[in-house]
Amino acid sequence: MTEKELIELAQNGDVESFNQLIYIYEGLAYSVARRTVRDPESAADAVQNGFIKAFRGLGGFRGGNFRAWLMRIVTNCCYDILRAEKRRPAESLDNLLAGPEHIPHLTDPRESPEQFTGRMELGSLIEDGIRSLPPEQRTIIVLRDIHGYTYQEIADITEEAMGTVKSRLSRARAGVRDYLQHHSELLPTPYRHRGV
Amino acid sequence: MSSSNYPHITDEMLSAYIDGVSTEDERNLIETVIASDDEVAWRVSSLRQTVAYLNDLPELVPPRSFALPVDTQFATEIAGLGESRLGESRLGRSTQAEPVRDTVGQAGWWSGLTGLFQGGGLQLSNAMIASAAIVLLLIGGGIFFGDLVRQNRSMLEGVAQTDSLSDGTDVQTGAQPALDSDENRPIDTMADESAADEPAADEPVANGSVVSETEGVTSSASASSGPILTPSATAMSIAVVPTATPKPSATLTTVSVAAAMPDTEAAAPVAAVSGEMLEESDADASDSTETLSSMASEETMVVNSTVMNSAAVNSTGAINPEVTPATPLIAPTPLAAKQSSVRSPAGPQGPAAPQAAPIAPDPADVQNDEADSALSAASIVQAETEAIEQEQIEAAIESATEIEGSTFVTIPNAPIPSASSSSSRRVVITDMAESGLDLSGASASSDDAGPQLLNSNIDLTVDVSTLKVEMNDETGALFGQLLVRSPDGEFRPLMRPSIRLTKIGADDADDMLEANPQIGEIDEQGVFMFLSVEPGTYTIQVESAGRLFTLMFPNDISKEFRIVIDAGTPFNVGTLRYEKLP
Repeated sequence: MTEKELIELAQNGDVESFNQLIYIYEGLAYSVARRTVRDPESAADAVQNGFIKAFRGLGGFRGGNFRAWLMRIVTNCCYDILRAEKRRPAESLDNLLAGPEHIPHLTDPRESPEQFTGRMELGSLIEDGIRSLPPEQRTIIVLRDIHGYTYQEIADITEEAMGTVKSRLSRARAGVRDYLQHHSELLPTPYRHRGV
Repeated sequence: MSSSNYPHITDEMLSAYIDGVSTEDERNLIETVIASDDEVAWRVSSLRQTVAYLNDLPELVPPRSFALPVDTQFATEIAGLGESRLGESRLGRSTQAEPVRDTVGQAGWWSGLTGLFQGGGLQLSNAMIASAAIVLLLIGGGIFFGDLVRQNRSMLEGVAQTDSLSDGTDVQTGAQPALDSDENRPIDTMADESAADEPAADEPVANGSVVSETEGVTSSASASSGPILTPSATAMSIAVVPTATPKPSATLTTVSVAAAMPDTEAAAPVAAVSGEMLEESDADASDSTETLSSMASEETMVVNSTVMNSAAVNSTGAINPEVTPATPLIAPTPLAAKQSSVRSPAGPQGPAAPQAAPIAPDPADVQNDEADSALSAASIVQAETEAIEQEQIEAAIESATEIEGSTFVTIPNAPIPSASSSSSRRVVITDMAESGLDLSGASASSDDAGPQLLNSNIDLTVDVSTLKVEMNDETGALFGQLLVRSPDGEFRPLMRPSIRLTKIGADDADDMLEANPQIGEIDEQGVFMFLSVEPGTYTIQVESAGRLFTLMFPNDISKEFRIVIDAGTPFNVGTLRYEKLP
């Protein structure tokens, strides 16, 4: 069954068909949301609310890029959460738990513990660099450089002009680069001499 | 930066240049300036390195499935209610512990209760908390005063003095007996108490975190033990789990856990969409992540290795994109790890779990094994009907490399005569582990069952007449077309994929960082193109529907697909047809 057929069924209220679409995109949606909002639970809330909104608004979807349409809803839910957090800051208990969430699930048995640790540290530092960006830049750099969206898709998702997307992406990249530069002492040893 | 003589070259221009979307004039300008201005060269290289770092970040795994309950009542609710905190309580909380279908019919009073606590505004939540606290106090007080009354009655009835003293001790610790009796109290009472206690810990946000954290564990119990998780069980976990759930290593074990999980009914079935687009819910995989969260990473590696071997062994026969070489051919780059992390728990064919389970081989699999062995003895692919010189075959075979018993295939770069002409290429693939340099099948005709089967998936006849490829002496280019069989049986391009080229040959972590993926352009026909590719050996990776796939050899996806790019030569890799994305 094609995506289009699933969408049509879901538009007629078929939750199972919509769930098939969720299975396709939930990983992507959560990954983007997690890097946009502050904590995992808020990200999960954003994704769940986004899917609910999407299901409710599916009747208004008139074709086109469903992924971009869906991600636009999820992204807007992330922004809603960010705005709410700004109004009423709260620290999630999840943030008190140690451990990077992005540890890969498959490791190379030949990778030494030092290499593994170094890679984890580097990943954590980059995630921090992403979090240091303004939300609108954060979203764009995540969509582009982590998930490989095209400029046009990002423009569709963020409802911004292509020029704005390019501009924000360049600023975001420069921001992460500068962040890494300013924290070069935190770069794992194997990478430190390379800098950025 | 101030030292640059080219302040008008902005980061935006450089960023676009890195992505290959700058205008021709800008590209020429930048390339000229890079050669003469160290500052600009540094900015380009640093941005490129930053992008490479970002590319290496893995896709994060959802903590649970976000599927909606298949419930007509829910559909009605969600269509009628506003922004749904209620929906969240039913979805984000209740369904976290079990697959969607299992939740039908059991949302009931528990969802209503949690909805009351988690829904609404802060004031309502606080009012509910206060009410619950008062109820608990009254209950406790009742017991307390009940004891007092009983005690006094005993004294009046002339019970022994020692008993009176003992009861008097109890009176001083009035509430304690009631708490002790929790062990024998109905679980749902504890659930109420737990639910009542949680909001008092913090604001609603923190409250939600507490619930979520514990439910993550309860979901593991549900996934592994099978039975539907009841609200009572949830409450039990809330009370017990927090001290026993170290999170840091949780995600490390996901693959192994998912692989070890039996394919139970808990795994929501998934239909195929556009060939590969649908994948089995990774709810179980992510949920079960927590189960073995304390497992050491070293153990995880071993388990993973086992999974990979099992997958390779058990999935012979029909081409299975989940097959991973038993021995990794190269140390996976972070990107490779990212790809694997995406692919393994819930790849296009579902999780690797069934393959990893110690099950007896299916007779059909055995037959397929035999057939596959016959094919791999000397698997030669003839891409087009035109003949190829024997020495070209030998050259290709010589370029194949064996690492620890596994074989990958390198397509030697034979530049096409003209960038504006159609190109055809013959690709040779062999399994050296099986046949060494046996070229007995090199001239196999299409009548042979093996090559004929293999030939069905590759067609190196991309018409590149419409592609304009500008070359220079320092870089090469790569283009081709990617098609995947869709449910209607036709090979079609993927929907909105992204494609990248990753340099390989890394032997250590430092070299891995040099594996700077280059994002290519791919159009609606699946025709992709990489320009300004540095010479080297590459693999192609495709991201579609949020999943990253490393393209294996189209006709034998147990073999890696490597492409050698030389400077100054465009390389037409042809039309790559896949039954399923590897």
